[in-house]
Amino acid sequence: MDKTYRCGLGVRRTLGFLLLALAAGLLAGLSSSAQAPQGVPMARQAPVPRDAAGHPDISGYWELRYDSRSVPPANLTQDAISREPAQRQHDVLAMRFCALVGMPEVMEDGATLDIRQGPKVIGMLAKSPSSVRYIYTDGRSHPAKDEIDQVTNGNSIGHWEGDALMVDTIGFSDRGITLIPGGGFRTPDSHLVERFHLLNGGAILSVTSTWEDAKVFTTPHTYEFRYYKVPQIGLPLQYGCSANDQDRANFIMSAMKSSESTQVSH
Amino acid sequence: MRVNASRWLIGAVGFGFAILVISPIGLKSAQAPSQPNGQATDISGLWLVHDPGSGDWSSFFDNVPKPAILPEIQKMNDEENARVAAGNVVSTGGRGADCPTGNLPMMMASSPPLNIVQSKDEVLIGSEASRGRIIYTDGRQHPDAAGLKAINSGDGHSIGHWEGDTLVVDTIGFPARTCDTRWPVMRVPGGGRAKDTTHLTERYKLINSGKQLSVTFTWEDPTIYLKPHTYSYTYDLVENGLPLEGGNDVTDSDLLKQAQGRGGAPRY
Repeated sequence: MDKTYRCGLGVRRTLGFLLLALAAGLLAGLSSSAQAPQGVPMARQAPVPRDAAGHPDISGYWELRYDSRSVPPANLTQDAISREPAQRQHDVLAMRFCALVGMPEVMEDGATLDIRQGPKVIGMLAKSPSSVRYIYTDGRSHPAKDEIDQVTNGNSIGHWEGDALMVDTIGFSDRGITLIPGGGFRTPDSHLVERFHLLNGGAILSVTSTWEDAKVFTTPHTYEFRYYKVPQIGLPLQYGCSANDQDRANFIMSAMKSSESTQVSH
Repeated sequence: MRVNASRWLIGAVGFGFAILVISPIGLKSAQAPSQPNGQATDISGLWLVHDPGSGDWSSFFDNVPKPAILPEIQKMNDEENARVAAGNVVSTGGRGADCPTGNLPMMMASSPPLNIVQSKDEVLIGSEASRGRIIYTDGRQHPDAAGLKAINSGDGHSIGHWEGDTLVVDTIGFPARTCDTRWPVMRVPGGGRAKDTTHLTERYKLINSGKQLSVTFTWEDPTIYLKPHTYSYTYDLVENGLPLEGGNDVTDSDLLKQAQGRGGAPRY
């Protein structure tokens, strides 16, 4: 075998090795992608959107649908059970006078929720009369209890645990709409822990909420909402709420004129 | 049999490279997201407008270069100012559901700080105890005339893009009239006005090592201004600050009395 022939054969063998390596790598990559959680189709395991720091990005327009809520009944203290009618009346008045609704209503007012995630803070914008809800992810702690200014959305700080955003909120005021899904109500002593987690490649946002308040709940009250991501909304419409609208006022106040068991919302 | 070490080495390197590039780890690295809008600049934060010491709110609101406005607009300004000076300081227009919400020029000039959240597709500017405004940075255009009318917001419709380290924002769609009988057309600092024919350009830029935010406003409307009306505000970063809310001093019994027509309790 002459030298030229030997050289040509060597190059072909080397190229062969490289092609084999490429094919093996391709197979390995595809195999990893195919190892989706059991029962979930491969097509839905698109990578979730991520921000510059690599955290899942929960920005988007999110809506609750008829199948979005998993809410067990809350275990209430006797005091909370006896206070609930007055609290319902409070919430009706808040609605009647277009008060800032606050938590948890901003997260479930029935309209699209606009969530915007920045590197240091996340803003949430609801359509109901409300302040913007801010979750600070810049490493800050809550203000001291004697320094905190109570607001309807409370003071929220968040941090990432893997791909889950854990949010801790205190400093609620007693204004706005206070009733909590499943029973109970928000007070200045309430403590809320939420877990935000993207599912199905970012098409669904799971939010698990756990309320603690020794005067209201005998055990921590936990429920989950799953929001569906919707395309960009056409217009940034916000609700125009008028406390001067007497028809609206009569409609809302009629709930207070019926029996104490009348449901205000949820 | 001689083992050709160089070929095996080439093969091993190729295998490793292929694994790295094609595996999920490699794919994830390749898809690493950029900064919001590819920008290194982030104007998020709580920003307090810097008042050089104007004295009171009206003085501060007017403490900008005076706009060159049409004579008829000046006449309207003079008449409205005279009514307020005569004691008509309360709006008697009521607040129906069709009244526009928000007031961009007032919000950007007011003392409650602005809470800005910059994300990839939107820049949210929250005002204290209120919803605030949205600047869309996702490449969308303004809606058509019907869409603008439907917005019915004193914040208008804002779209923004980055020019280097400056966020340039274009806003139209202000309401033709407000429900405020004192100033039926939105006032702009210095004596200008903003309505459905008005166009605003803002330029946001961090200065002083990110401790301050400079915003330049340019208002244009041939039915109001003889030439573009431009002024700037500087906002100071409030580190670890938190926005407040009003309405916490109203009791349920006050509201119930008012709802039942039995008293004049303050509203939220």
